[in-house]
Amino acid sequence: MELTSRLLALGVPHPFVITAPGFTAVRLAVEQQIRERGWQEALSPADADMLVQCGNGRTEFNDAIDRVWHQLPAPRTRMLITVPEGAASSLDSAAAALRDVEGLRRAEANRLDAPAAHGETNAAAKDDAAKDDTSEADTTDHADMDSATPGTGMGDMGDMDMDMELPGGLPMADRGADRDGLKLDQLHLVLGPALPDWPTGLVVRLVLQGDIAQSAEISMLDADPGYRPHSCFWAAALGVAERSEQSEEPRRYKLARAAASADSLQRFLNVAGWPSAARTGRWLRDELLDAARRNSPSTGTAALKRALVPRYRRWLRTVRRSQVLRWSTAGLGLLELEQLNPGQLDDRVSSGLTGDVTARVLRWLDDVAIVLDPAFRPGPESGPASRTADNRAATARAALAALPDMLAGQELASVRLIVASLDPDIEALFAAKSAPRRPHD
Amino acid sequence: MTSAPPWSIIACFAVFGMLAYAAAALSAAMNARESGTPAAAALTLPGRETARLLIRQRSVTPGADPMLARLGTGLLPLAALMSILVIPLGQHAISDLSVGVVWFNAMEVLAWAAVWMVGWGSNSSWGLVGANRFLAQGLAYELPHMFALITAAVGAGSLRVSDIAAVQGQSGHLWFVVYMPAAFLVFLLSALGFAFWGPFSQPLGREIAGGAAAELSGIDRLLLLAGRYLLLTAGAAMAVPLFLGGGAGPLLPAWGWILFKTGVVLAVLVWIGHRVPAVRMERFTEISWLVMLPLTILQALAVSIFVLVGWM
Repeated sequence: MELTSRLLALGVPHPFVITAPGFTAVRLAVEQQIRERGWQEALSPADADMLVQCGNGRTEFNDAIDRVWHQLPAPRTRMLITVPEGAASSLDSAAAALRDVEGLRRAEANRLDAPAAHGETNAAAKDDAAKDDTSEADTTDHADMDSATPGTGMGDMGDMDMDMELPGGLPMADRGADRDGLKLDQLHLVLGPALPDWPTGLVVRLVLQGDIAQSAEISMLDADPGYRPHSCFWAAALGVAERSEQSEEPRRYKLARAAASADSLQRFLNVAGWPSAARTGRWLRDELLDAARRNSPSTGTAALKRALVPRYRRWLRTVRRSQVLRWSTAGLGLLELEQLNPGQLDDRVSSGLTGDVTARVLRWLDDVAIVLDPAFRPGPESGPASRTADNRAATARAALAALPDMLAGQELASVRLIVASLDPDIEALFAAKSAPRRPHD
Repeated sequence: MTSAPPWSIIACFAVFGMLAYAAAALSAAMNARESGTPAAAALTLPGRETARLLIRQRSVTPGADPMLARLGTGLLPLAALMSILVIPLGQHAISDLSVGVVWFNAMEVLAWAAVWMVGWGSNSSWGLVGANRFLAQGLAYELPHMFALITAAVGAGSLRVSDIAAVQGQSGHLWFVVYMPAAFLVFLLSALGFAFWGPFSQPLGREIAGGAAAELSGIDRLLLLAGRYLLLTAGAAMAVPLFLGGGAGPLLPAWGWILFKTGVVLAVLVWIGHRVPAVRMERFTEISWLVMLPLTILQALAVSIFVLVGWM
């Protein structure tokens, strides 16, 4: 007892963050808090002791949250954060809850699915609604519980003969013809919505054979009609900066765009297996965003100075010049102009999407370099106007349309790299749907 | 060869444990520096993480094979400790086998089985993908790695690790890294490979939710992470007798030099892990089989000729 509470006090929390579309501002605040506290983000529910829910979603989102909550081993705590200002205090109270032995014991007393307590693998399917205050009585069947990983419910299982006793009561994999004409097991893997470094609100349903994606089906989280209007964080940040462009602070627009690009970059670097660079990218994003938000010129300049220290220029140079990174992404996810239906697209939209993974990443690096490096001049193809506030939605729409064809036939690691290099802004799509249509959207 | 007294075995494991902790602490401090938090505070992080994992519940997925997965998590640190047996920390190793190099190689291959058992046993798509990635990685680095080991053995004319170190300490002999730089570099790369560290960390990749470790919690996760750092330490420590002259050096006693050199190699390995992004195995296999493998064969050939001619 004494020892348990001492060990609890020593531990550093590992939060698992899930974001609802429309709550990017909350995610950014939470990520900044986690970074500054030196906490380590959990990659899977099994490693997490803190479930951080950024914003409210609807049925699909809540189901995903409940499934993830099921999978968190004790000691655990969960919280909902809906406004960026609430991030610090919510994380404080969650950390306190993780040190309160009595409270944790009370919370776990009613847990029926405790894997270690029962030692039976099928115990996980029991309902834990008893202690789950926000629960929608998540009586998921085994199929949904299967892989017990972020966002991986098994999709359609085919017609299975369930009489046979199978491990964990799970149905067997179905088989299908692969590209070489062999019959291979198919695995249905759902990427998103609860997956680290994944675009918020995107769901990709893969049919895998081995680790090759045979087909990919793209959907958006809770994309039912009649959903209340979303706001798009980045479009709003860019829009505010755009309007103030002519007046007092001409750099704010560039800063906001650099922050948006740094956010996509840190995500991509994590997916590319370079968490060290991603951490600095996240730090830089927070500094840029801070500078872009300042209204008065004096505090804005002070914030900008923090972003202009040599550390970030070194980081930019390292990432840009990394031969290993280029070598492992070159030629991947090539998107030609013809695939994008150029007739209906703004030139600025298509020029932001074409090329391979490396080309798209270099464009983000250019956006950041424009701010960090006064001597930097972007190349002709990376037009600085390529991702303004208005066409974020159009870019996301074009990317989603191109994705299924791009992902089919790719290996799982490539699938993640391609999605990360497009980083479709689902929020912008929702926002565009609810906002009055603009002529070029 | 006299057998080592029991206290020296415990002392040896304690020293390696501390080195592994130092590697974890260095990595945590670098993480902190990269994200703008005080690096000094992060030095205790591996210890705090241990405390956290000790009281965490284990997680079991439906349809999992806990026995297999737990054997795997236990096997990993065990393989690392057994590979340490043949590495001399002073004049002698705990068990200075006459086939020490082969023993080291065999123990390091046990890690293949361990990681695969963990990934398969957890019955998760991510675990399965991560486990199979490690096998693909093993196929990529293992052959060049074996040639690198054999090259050092050929240079000394013995498979006993302390003999290989002793040859480099004799007058008129340079450290083997001078004769066989390619073998040394390949050995360092494969040390990163068998400890799935840095550029070879894809079996536990972030983009597959932690891969083979995706479903691990509590003591299982602790054993896997400890095994990983111990393997990295074993790799760094093995590079010293094979290529860096073992305990040879002025002023300091042999064990002092060995610890110093091991620490330096370990720091370099940790640093590479932060400096270089992950390589994807489907692309790296090409390099390892078409570049590294011929290179190590040529290296072995060159060293064999040196030995025949009498240059070393």
